[in-house]
Amino acid sequence: MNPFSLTWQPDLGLWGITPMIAGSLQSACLAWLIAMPWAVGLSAAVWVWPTWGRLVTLGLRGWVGIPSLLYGFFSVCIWVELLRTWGTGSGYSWLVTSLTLALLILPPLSLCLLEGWRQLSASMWRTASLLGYSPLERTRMLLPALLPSVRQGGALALGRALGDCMIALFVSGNIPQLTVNPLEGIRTLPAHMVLTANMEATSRGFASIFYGAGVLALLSMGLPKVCMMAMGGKRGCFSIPSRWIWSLFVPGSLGLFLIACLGMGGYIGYRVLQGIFVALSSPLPFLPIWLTPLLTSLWLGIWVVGIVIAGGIGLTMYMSTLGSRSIAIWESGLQLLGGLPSILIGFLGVMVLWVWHGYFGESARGGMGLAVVCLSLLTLPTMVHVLRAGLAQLPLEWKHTCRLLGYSPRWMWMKILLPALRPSLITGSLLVFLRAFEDTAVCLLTGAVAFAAFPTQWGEAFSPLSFQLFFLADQYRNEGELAQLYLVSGIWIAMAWGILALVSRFQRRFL
Amino acid sequence: MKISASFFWLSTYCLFATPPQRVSMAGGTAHIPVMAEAASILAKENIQLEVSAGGSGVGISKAGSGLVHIGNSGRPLTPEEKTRLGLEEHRFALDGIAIIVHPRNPLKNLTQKEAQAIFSGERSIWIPFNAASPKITLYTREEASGTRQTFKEGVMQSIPFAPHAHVLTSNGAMKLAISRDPNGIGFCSIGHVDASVKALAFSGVEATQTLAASGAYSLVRPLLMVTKSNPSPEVKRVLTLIQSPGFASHIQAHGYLPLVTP
Repeated sequence: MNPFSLTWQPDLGLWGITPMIAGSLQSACLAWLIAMPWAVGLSAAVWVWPTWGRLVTLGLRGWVGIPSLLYGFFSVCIWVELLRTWGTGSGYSWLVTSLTLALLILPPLSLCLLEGWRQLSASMWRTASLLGYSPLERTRMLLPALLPSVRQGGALALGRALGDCMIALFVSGNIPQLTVNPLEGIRTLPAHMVLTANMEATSRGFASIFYGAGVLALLSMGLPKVCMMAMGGKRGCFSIPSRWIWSLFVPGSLGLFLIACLGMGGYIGYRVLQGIFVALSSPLPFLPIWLTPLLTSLWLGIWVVGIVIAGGIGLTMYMSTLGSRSIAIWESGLQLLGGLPSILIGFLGVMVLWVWHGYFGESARGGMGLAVVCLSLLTLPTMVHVLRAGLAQLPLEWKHTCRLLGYSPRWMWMKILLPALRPSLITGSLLVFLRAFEDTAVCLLTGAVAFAAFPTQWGEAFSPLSFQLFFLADQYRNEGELAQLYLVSGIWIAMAWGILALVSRFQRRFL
Repeated sequence: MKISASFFWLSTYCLFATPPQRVSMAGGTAHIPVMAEAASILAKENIQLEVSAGGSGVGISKAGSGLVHIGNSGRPLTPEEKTRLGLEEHRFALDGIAIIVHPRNPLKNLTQKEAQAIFSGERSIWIPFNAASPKITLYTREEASGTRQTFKEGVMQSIPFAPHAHVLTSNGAMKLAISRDPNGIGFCSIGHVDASVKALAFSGVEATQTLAASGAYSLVRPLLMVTKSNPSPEVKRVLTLIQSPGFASHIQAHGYLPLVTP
C-alpha cells in the first residue's frame, strides 16, 4: 500500500495522502496570494493617510487577538453561507478556506510590513519628499526597498497558513480529493491528522498520521524558505508599479479592509450581543459550563509561562556566552521550532505518550502535564526572541563595567541584566500566555476532554476554554448553546485584546 | 511578590490536594448529551464524569487500553474485541440512524437502492433525467464514527461511499450543515433530529425511535458503554445510574429509547 498514492478511500483499502498534501499547499498558497498584495497595499495606505492609518493599525492589532478557532467558527456562519447563497455547491471549499486563512495571516503580515516601512531610512523618505512626490507617490517609489520585510513576513505568513488546523477543519469540507476548482472542497494535512487521530491505533488510517506529520514538518520548514528564495532574485520580486495601478491599489486595499472590519466586527458584535440576551434569558446554565474551562485555561497558561520564563532565561543566558557561529546554530534551531505548526507539537506529545504507554502500560495518560510540556516547547522560541531583543537594547558598557569590576557573570545577570530585562520578560510572558491560552490543536491531542473538573494532577484530563469552545462549536444542539458560544467568543476576544493592549503599553513604555 | 507567593501556594495546593473521584469516558458523539446530563447528576455525588468525543472506535480502543474508564460505543463489540481487549458491554439505549435532508427538500422516502446510489455518488442530481436539477451535496462522517459504521452496514453494505462526500466530525455538525444546505443529504442519530432538518423514511418506514424499537425501522444500533471487567465502585455507580429507570426519562428526553421503562 503506497501512502502517497492519489486516492484516500478506506472502504476500498486506499490510503493515499497525496490529496491532503495538495490541499495543504493549495489552501496556503492561495491564502498567501490573497493576503500578500492586500497587506502591501494596506501597509502603504497607513503611511499615505495617517488618520486612517491609526484606525487600521488598531483594527489589525484587534484581529491579531482573535484565535483561529473563532475564525473557523465565524467563517462557517459568514463565508460558507455567502458562497452557498451566491455560488454553487455547499460553500465548504478551497476558496473559503483560503479566504479565511488570508484573513488570519493578514494582520501579522501587515504589521510586519508596517514595521518594514518604518525601518526605511529617514533619508529615503526625505529625498522622495524633496523631489516633490506626494505621499502616495513616495510609497510607490520606495516599494522595492520593502523587499526584505516582504520576504520575511511572507515566509512567516506562509508557514502559519500551512500549519493552521481549526480553519480547515471547519470550512474546507474535509474532502480528500485532488481538485483545481476553488469552489470544491479539499482536505488539508492538519485537518486530516485530527480526523484520523480517532481511528484504531493499529489501522492504516492511523498510520497515515505519521506520514502526514512528516510531510507537514518538511513543508513547514521548506516552503517558507522556497518562498523567500523565490522573492529574492537579483532584482527582487517587484519593480516600481505603474502610477494608475498604485493609485487604485492602495485605496482599494484600505477600503476592502475597512469593509471587512465593519462587516466582520458588526457581525461578531451583533452575535455577541444576541448571545448576552439569550444567555441571560435561557434556562441553560452558563457559569457551570464555562467557569471551570476558563480557570483551567488560566491555570494552564500560568504554568506554561512559569516554565517558559525559566527556560527562556536559561537559554538566553547560555546563548550570550556562545560565539557567533554557535549562536547562529541555536537561532536556526529556535526558528525551526517556532515555525512548526502547533498540531505537530501536539503530535510529538502523542508520540511521547505512545512510547511512555509502551513502557509503563496503563499508568501512562495524557493530560494537563503533557499539554504544559508541549505548549512550553511551542512558546519557548517566542520568549527567547523577546529576551534576546531586549538584551540587544541594553548598553554594552554595563557588561564591560561589571567585568572590569570583577563581578561574576552570574552576579551580573542576577543583579543587573535580569532586572533591566523585566519589561521584556513581562512582554514575553503575556505573549506566551496568550498563545497557550488560545491553543486548541495541542490540547486536542494531549488529553483535553469536555466537562472535566479543574485539574489537580499532572496526569488528569482537563477542559481548557479553547477545547470546550471547539467541542461545543462542533456539537451544539440548540440556539441557546449557540448563543452561549457567541457570548464566550466575545469574552475571549475582549480578554485577548486586553492582554495585547498590555503588551503594547509595555513595549511603548519600556522598549 | 505577594502575587507570586499566592500563585506558588495555589499551585502547590492544586498539585498535592486530594484528587476528586474522576471517571473518564470517550467515544461516540451520540452519547454526549446523555452523558453531559449524567455528569451534572453525578457531580452532586462528588463524582466527576469527564466526557470526551472521538467516535466509537476510539471509545472501544481507549477503554481497552485503559486510557479511559468507560468507552462509549454506537456499535456492539466484535467477539475479537471482547477477547483481545477484555471488555464488557453495558447497553442502555437504542438509537436509530436517520437519513436527513433540508426541510425544503420535497423528498419523503428513500429505498435502500436509492440511498446506495446517492451515497456512492452514482446518482449526482436530485431529479433524474432533468438537466436543471440541483446537484446533490453529500455529507458523511469520519471513518472512526459508529454512526457511519451503522449506516454502512445497514445501507451501503459493500458499496463504498463517494470520495467527494464532505466529511463532518459529529452529529451536531451534520445537523447544522444539512439545515443550511438545501441540496444536502447526510445521516445522523434520530436523537439529534429536530425541526431544522427533515428525516426521510427508509424503505417506506418512518424514521422514529418508536418504530426503531419495534424493529420495523431497520437502521438501528445499540448505545452502549464498554468497560474492563470488575470496574471500580465509582465506575459502577456511573453504569448503574445510566442504566437505572430513574435516568430513563433523561435518555428519552434526548430522543433515544431507553432499555428500561422510566
